[in-house]
Amino acid sequence: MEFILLALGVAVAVLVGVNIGGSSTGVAFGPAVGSKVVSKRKAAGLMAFFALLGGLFVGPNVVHTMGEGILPPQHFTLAASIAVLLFTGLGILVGNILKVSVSTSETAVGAIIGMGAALGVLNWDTVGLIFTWWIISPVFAFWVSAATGRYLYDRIVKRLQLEKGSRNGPAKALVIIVGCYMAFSAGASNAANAVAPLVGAGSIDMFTAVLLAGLSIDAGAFLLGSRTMETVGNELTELSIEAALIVEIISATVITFLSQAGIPASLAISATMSVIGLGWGRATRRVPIRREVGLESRTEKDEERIEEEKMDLYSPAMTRKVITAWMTTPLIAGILALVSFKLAVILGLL
Amino acid sequence: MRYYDFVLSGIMFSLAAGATIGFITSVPLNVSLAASSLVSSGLMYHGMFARAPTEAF
Repeated sequence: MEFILLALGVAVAVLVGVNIGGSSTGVAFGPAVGSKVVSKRKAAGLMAFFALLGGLFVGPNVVHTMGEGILPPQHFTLAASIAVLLFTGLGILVGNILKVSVSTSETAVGAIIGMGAALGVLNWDTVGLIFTWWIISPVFAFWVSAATGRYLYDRIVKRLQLEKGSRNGPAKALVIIVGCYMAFSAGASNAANAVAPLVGAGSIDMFTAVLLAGLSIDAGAFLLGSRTMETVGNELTELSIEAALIVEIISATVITFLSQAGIPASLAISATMSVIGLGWGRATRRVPIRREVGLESRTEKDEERIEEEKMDLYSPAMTRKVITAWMTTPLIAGILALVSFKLAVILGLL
Repeated sequence: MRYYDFVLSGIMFSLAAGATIGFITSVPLNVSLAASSLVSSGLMYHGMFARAPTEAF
């Protein structure tokens, strides 16, 4: 019985890992593949290598927090671990069906917190710490991106000279290096989502766990990556290559830092917040131009410029939708887990 | 300095104040940073929704 449960636990962990690998490959290498700097096969290979590296070297910090910090590890029985992983997988699945980008980290943490609340064993210090950083990191990602968009963006574009035809070697290399950096941070923060409950349960040791998570993410990169790299719904693929690079550098840095500190945080959220911030920052530059050039005195050239700048840099409605989705996802995962674990306790299953 | 410069510097000032308070007083860094990011969120809200940089503005 124990062996069957363990096999089931590992199978669910692999499934979660494969899905994570699929979606993060799109985030990490979508821009590089979209701008035809690398082929999809090469991108998947780079993704696999750097995600594994991130998972092995930084991943254990996050596994430690999620597997032992949020609630005492002895409560992670094998059955409970499988349930938490299933909730995580279900969350990702629902997100994919509804076509909203759901944060794996948020869903996984939400499920574990729900379980802890049901059993009344939550470690509030850790929960408070995680929530604190969940508020700070998007604000920080927004601010850096917005300031870049408002004050530096035009200069960066001029400096990089990435537009078609004049694409030079160093710029190409930059696109690839940034993709690898993003892959590293994705592995670092996401490895825990697939295996943390199993480590908490003591079913597998840390190294085996992060290796298993890394390899599952790699399998996802090869199996599902080619599809996610060209998804139109991916916010990053709709950006210019310069904007995508800026967003990736900022969000990968935020996530690598948080993972190193052991805080489970969402790459998708910091990337999206960074996209919103950069668009907002660039849009704030356009507003004064439009207001300064009054309707009567507009020349044809002004009209052209205004038309060009109309491209959807920032939409309040869209932003509102994204922010609402982030707030509700962990809440739904948490409540589902809370109710199910409470039922399990009442029925005497745990 | 225009409106959006004030919003951006306000966010930066608030976060910096949170970090400073956390480092030099006995208030835990997490608490001071959380409080300051709530202030920043308020500024962000105003800049993003109340006076959004869109066509209508």
